[in-house]
Amino acid sequence: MKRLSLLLLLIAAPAWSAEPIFKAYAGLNGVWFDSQEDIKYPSDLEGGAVIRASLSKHISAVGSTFYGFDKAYVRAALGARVTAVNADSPDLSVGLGIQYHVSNDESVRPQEWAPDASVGWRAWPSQAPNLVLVAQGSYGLESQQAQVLAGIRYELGGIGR
Amino acid sequence: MIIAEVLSALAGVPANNIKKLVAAGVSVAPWDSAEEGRRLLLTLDRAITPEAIASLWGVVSAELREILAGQINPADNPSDSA
Repeated sequence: MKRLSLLLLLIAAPAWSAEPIFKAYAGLNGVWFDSQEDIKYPSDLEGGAVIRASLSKHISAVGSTFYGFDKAYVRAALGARVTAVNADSPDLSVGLGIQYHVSNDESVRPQEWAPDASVGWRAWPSQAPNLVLVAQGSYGLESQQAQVLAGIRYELGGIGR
Repeated sequence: MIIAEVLSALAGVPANNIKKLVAAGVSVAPWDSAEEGRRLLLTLDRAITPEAIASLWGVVSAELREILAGQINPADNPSDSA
């Protein structure tokens, strides 16, 4: 993780932009895990943080860690995402990517690569510009388990201008 | 359907194909049988054409070259926070 952060900083250093390269968000999720034995809706409620490094208009590195309040697990993910933005409404975007997932409870979130599709919507850009509504679906390549989440993010701040 | 238009603009997939895909996904949800899953995959297969993949790869590869050249142009994409 430290090596990746250092690499991203080195890559980012030569450039300047008004938009920060790194941004951090606090988040709450309702998450649905695809379990053949026990399907509940939602499977758990999570709280945690997300960090992104936007490297270009459409390419970002993303990472997150969340704690499941009911099942008392911790999970984390790190990967990359390609984003499509509505030119008429930059407050809505869709991302396709892949992340490597780890957790302290593999029965909840197996350790594996999982492609994902994400949607983010800044629903109140004037009144609450720091709030983003999100949804994400992912599919574990080894476990063949799906995960779907819907949540809210609060932008904490950014660095790397 | 804004998402269909967005994906269409980026990837070059006809927006109607994406709308059909989403409609198919809604019609089979929850996907509780192999037959329904197969129908969804067939619809997906028809929507994602080689031309669409080539168009998307053109955008991504150009930006990858910029990143490797040290040109970082960050954007504020809401979906990056998901």
